Amino acid sequence: MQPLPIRIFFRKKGAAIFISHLDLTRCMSRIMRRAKIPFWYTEGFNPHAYMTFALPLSLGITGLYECMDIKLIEPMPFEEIIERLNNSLPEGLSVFAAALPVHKNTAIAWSRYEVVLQPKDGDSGKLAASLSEFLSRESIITEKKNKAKKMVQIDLAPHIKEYTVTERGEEGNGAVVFLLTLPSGCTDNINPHLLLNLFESESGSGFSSTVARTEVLTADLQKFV
Amino acid sequence: MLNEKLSDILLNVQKPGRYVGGEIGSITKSLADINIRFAFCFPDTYEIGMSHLGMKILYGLYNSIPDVWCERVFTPWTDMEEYMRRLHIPLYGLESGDAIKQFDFVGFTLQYELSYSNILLMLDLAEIPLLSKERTEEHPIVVCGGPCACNAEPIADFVDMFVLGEGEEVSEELFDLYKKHKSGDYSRAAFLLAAANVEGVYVPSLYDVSYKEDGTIAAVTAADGVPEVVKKRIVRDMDNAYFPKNFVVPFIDIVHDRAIAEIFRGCIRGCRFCQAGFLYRPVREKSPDVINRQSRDLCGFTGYDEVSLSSLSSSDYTRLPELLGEMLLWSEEDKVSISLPSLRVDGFSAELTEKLKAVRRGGLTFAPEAGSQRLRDVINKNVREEELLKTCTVAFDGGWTTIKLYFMIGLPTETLDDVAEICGLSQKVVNAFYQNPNKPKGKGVTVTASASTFVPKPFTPFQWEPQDTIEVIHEKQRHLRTSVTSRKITVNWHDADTSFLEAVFARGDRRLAPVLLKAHELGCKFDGWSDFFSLERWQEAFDFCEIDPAFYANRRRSYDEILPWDHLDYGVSKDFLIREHKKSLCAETTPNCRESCSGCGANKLNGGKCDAAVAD
Repeated sequence: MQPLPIRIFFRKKGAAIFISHLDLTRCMSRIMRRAKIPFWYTEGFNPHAYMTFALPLSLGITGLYECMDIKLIEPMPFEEIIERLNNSLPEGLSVFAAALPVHKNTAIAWSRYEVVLQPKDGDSGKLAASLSEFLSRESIITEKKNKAKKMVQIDLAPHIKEYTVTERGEEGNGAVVFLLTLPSGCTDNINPHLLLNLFESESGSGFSSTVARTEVLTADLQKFV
Repeated sequence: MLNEKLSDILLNVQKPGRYVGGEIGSITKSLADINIRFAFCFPDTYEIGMSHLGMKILYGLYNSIPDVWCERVFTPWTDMEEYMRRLHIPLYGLESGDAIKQFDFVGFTLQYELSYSNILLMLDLAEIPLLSKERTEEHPIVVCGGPCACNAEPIADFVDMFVLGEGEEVSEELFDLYKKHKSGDYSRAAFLLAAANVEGVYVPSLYDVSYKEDGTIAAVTAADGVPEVVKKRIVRDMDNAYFPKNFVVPFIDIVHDRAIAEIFRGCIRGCRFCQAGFLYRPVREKSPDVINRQSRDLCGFTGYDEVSLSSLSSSDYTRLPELLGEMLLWSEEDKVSISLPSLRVDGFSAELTEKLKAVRRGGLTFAPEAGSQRLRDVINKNVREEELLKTCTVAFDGGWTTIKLYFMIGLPTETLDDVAEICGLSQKVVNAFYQNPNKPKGKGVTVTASASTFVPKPFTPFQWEPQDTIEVIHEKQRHLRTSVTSRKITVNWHDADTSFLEAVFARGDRRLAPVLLKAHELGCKFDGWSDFFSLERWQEAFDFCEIDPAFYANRRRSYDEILPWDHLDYGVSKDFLIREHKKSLCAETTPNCRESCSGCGANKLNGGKCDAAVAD
């Protein structure tokens, strides 16, 4: 059989968010061996498991819609692939779907994030207001390393495709839920921490935050599948 | 199992994967079923400790006992240490995230003397009193094992008990004894006294050491009811000994990230500088079918694609061709590569390289240990120059162009001429390359001669020998550099300062405990890491305690001096070591154990049996 491309969709949360992208690739190739998935090895002098990840995830971010492509050399039902992988995966990593790829990896253009901000002083109303003010500015200038590893100025405002800021929980112990869509993929990529760090230093607000990437989208905001 | 305090700081430290656990193969249990909680501590970083086979064996073994839960603990790097101190997070087990101060046992493995400062650091971070005598019934029992337990007198004041030799069997006996004591009216003292009567267990507080005016030991007196001499334990039957079916597979990159199969214990060679060669006697081999099965199981459970056949000298395994033949039946199809470290110069053949078909071809490393034949005879290395050159020629035929040679400087009877011969021998290897018509075309050769500093160790024929002073070592290092004759040869050496400290603790006694305490106060830690080690800080600790480190490192002992480890029995007799020492001074070699038995005495631990002799 010709090696058949398969897209595996998985979640990465809990302690697994501390697995770096490089470590994740090593982990996944061992998992596929453990699970006895009939996957395709690259040919050549130093054969290794063929595996490509659509969109590497930064350390510390929860991933609820992660994708990895492999190739099968023997037929195996998708349900069985999912079950075998889940029986082998460590806590925090779980596969929720396997399918034939529809889009090319280069079709990825946007990612949706859910950021939960926990104000240190418990005043979520103030934090929400301050965040909304920050986001409504005409330009949000910060510095970012470009591909040549040089620091360059960048305006984040035009890059924020859409966002909502809402409060959650009771008074004095509330949180701010911040949903946003940012560019992702090989041409343009904005890490939500870039925005959060700038907000923290400019507003002087004290908060802790968790970030989850909830969806990966194509240019016309369709789900990447 | 992360608590929230931790999650907040983990993004701010290097390699958070060191501190979170949850790896494939890590074991969590329900506390309701647990009688004994054991913290297995490796006093170095996660990457170093996770590479260690002994820890994997004992972790698997302890957790195979239903009511025992063994967790892993490593030394946090300084960035993490800082956060832990600031946020009052006591040292915790990676599996549960619980503070180890509430465990029943806190065990340390003693792999190298330079990790002693990290033991104190970890006890401190765990909020466990550093000194054994300050611990109460509320505190865990601090137990240590591993090679340095053969003379652990320098850390005796910090440790409640030592396990001598191989921990597999003795641990289970200890756990049973502990459960018995715990179910009654538990007293720490009563338990330790009872434990001291388990063969292989040494409870230092039950042995009193007195000293003569010249600083040497006058007597070691055992308390009533405990054995005068503690004998090490060994596993007799390697085929039926516990071996884990599964390893904890780390997420982050560690030093040795592969499956490991142990092929035999002990060594037939008797190199006189090598402590492991004496400590792990007698030789006990595992059968090829057992090794084969264990390797295949391990690769299957872990997903590793490489298995390393581990021993002190792999090419001395009597049934190596048979073993490799069996393994190759499945390894190629499963895309598993087999690696065979610790090859001797005389054990490397074209046939073997063909069998291994090393996918990833790294450099080749051999250890002639000394440059001149005379000095190789002194240390009983039993490798001849012709053999080394022949082996290198085989390697060059096989396409290798990088050869690394390990040497030691500071060996007993060594002269500057011996040192220069390190470069002489390296030059001959370079010449062998250019004289070889089959050498790889269009490539040059690189020979790296790496010289470590010799450290005399207990239970070796050199245990009475002084270490060269740092000044002499520096002079020899300079001489080594000026003796280089070719740009194809690179020489490098290890820092003499760390070897000096290693020598102090290797043959130290209990009077070094205050020095360790002071050094810990001064911030000494990770002494095996050049970015942390500071001899000045250690010197300050020695000065403060009015201890002269040269007394331990640079002094020649007489045969009748009571050595700090004389009340410990590792099988090899003192008479044998004296015989070997005398022969070494005349550059007289001893044949390896397979050629003829030299009567070291270690076979008495195994009912008179030694696999080195059986092999004929």
